[in-house]
Amino acid sequence: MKKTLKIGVFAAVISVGFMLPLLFSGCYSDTMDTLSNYTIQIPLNFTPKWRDRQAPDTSIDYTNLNNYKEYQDNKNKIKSSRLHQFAYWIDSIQVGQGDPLPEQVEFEFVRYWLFYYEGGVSKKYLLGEFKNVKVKDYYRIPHIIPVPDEVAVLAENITKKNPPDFYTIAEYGKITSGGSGRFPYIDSRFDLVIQLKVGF
Amino acid sequence: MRFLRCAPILIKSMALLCVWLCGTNDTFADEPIKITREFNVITSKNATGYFKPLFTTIGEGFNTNTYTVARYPSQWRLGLDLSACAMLIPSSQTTYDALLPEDYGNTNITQTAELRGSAETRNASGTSVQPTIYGGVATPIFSAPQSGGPPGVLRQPATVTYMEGNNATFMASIPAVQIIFGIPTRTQLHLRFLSIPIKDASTTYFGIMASQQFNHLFGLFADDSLIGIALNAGYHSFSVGSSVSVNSLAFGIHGSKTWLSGLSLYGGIQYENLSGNISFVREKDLNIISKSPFAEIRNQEDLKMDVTTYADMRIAAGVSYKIGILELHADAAYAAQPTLAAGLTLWFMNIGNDESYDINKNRR
Repeated sequence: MKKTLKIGVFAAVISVGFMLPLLFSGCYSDTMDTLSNYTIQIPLNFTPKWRDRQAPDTSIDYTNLNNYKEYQDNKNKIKSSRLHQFAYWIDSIQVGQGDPLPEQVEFEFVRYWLFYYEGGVSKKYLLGEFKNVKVKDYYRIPHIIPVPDEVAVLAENITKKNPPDFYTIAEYGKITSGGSGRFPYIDSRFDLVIQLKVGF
Repeated sequence: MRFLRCAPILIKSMALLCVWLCGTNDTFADEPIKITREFNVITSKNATGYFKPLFTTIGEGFNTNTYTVARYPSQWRLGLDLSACAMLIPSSQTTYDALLPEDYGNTNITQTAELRGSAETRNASGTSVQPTIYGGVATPIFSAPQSGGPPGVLRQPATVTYMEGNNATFMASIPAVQIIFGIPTRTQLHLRFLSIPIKDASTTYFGIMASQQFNHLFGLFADDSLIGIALNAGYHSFSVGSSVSVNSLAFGIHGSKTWLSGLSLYGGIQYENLSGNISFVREKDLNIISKSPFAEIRNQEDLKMDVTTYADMRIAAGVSYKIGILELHADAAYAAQPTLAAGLTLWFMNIGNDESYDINKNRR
């Protein structure tokens, strides 16, 4: 009985002795993976400008990720990328003569689209939509929308392109607050945050 | 075989930690290390919070596998110990309070907003909860400056983003390859030393841990020579060039009970800490205009981190089995990051005779 117990203890200890190294070697591999990558976020800044336009209408902006220092510093090590969130606000606005005051203006919606050329073909995707946009609520006050998953992953395609560029389209809906809907200018801001997973 | 392949991985993992922290460009042993440009998104204070759990893992790794059985013979002994450890990461260490740019919260200067799930928070000031290196996705804080600025220049304070974490729940720490010296005063010393050049910067780690059995001095358990109680203390130093200087201190008490089968149970309580400084030079380029809302990054000021950890007390319990020259040991510890550890010791040499220690003599 005593001998059986001793053999049992010995077998258990030897088994544990061999199992633990396996466990720890897997653990160190995971640690390596964890420390070999890190993810940074970069805010891409757009300044869409409307000049003497009639709502509903659109404006288009272009960006090249190479213009962002953080992107340039990391671009050779990017393993994956995703669009995360974006915020929109109106920076300055002028209404047409005789139209309601800026603080009374309301758009049916403001939509933001992403589009880019890939293989000579343009592709357009809805980033998000702000409904019932009252200028007084959006005047230098950011409003945030998370980028839908199906659009977020398109950052992969953009960062793999050469150049890594894309367009954003700001689409203003019709005016619901009355007036001509003509604006000498609307300057707005659109910050789009992109996540870059970078490896060593 | 996989464990054998693990050895270079372990060395590489330690090296990687250093590279990760220390940058890669034009580094020299006696000059401060330049931080790689990808880390130009983090400030000194936020880096301290972001890396704190990693420093805890490293510090706890230093102070793990520093003792097993507290019954030390009156002999000269020499052994080699190979040990590994891993930590469970508590959810409380996956976030930290990251500093916001100074002007955030002052609505005369900027209006800010952040979105977490469906909850939008406006005009927060001071700090924001963001992921540590073991956390998850960071939350950007969008900023709409209220005043105009020069055309073509991004107005400040701009939108701020933070580094994300790696969703880690279980992390291996630095493995230990240590020489063990036994001294006839029932003292045992563990010595660790590693020096490797990383990108021309010398990286040095050494640790010395001492244990002293004392129960026999006071006649405690005088009738059972298979029980031991000892005090232990340790000091560790880790440096990379002149940029990284980290030290750790630990002291505690441990005890053990051995059975004639060679099996021992041991346990102990220990206080430990890790402190130091890490300073890097940011690469300076006057032609680069940073858009960061943090003045420290825009002005390309050097990055200086205080090394702090969550670690303080740990309570450990473990099992050891000695057969011939081989001793296998494994333990678990409740600590700031609960720890699992295991290793094996090869006892090469015993000089002198201590009958009270010899299990075979005890059997008789």
